[in-house]
Amino acid sequence: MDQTETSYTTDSSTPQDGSYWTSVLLVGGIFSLVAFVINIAFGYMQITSEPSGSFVTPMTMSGLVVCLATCIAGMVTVWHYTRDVTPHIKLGRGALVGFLTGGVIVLASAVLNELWLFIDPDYTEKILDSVVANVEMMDMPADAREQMIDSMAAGIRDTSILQQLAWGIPITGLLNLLTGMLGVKLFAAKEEETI
Amino acid sequence: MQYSHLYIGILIGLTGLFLLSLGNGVWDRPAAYDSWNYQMFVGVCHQLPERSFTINGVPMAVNARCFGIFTALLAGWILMPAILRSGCNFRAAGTVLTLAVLIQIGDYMAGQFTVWNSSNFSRFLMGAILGAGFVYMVADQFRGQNNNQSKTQDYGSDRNKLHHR
Repeated sequence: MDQTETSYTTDSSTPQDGSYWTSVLLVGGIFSLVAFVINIAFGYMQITSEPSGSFVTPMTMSGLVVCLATCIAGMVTVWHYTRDVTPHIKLGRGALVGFLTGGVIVLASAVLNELWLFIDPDYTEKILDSVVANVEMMDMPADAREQMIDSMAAGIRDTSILQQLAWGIPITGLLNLLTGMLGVKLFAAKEEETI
Repeated sequence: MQYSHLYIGILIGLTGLFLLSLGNGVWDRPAAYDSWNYQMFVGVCHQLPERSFTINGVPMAVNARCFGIFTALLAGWILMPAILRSGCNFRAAGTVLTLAVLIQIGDYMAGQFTVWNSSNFSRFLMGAILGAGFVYMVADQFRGQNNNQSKTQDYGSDRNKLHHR
């Protein structure tokens, strides 16, 4: 008769050797690059599309995809860490790894966005024009329309890297911290004791 | 309960997240989408005023679905110690979270294909299911050593019984 007790590795004697920075930088870098490419691709789709007056535009689709992608990065980093370094990872370290991954994504995305403006200096202006043209086609009260234009314009307005970091890291970091803990739950090694 | 420092740190973070997501209406100030508390959510939320709740006539900093997620995360986090103390069973956590994610996708797709028109309230509710599902999923990792020890003792007594046999 076999009975198996399963518990997560929370013992302080559990080995947690190896740096997590490789996983953080690798996954954070890949996700920021993917988010940047998606953003740029949907951005040019927005620029070249005819204003339809629809709520669902390439830019809002881009926001949805990028949000989902960046939020699960913490979990993916923990998965990579458990595969590449050690399967034993404590909850606190998983949370830290997730938070750092969020920070790397915000930092790398901000840098990539700034670099893109060297390639296409009019990019932000073209996006703004396209978004405003689309919102002006929407059937809604003038006040709401103005609010929406402000909202969308603020989302794509050119802000300094420091502002992007200061505003982006806490929220993206916290959300990735949470998914990092989820990664520990899903991927960390479980101690098994067969009786 | 273990990882109490991590628990408290996340509780503070989620409280801040919740308060910031309320936007300027709660402070009786007009919406300013270029202000820092609205800009913080630009990367994670579309912030469409039409799809956001309003406070004092001012749209929140996040849409109804995100607000539902953040509210349920905070509520679940506050309730977590009581849930753990109640001896709640977490075996279905994976299924619950998977269902919550599928519900979000289904709700979004249904809206896209005009199967049904979701309202801000329904979006809030769907988001809340996801937030609550997440807390349910990770809560057992904060369960204290005592619970694990008692489990081990139970198995230990089983082992003794086997020896006696």
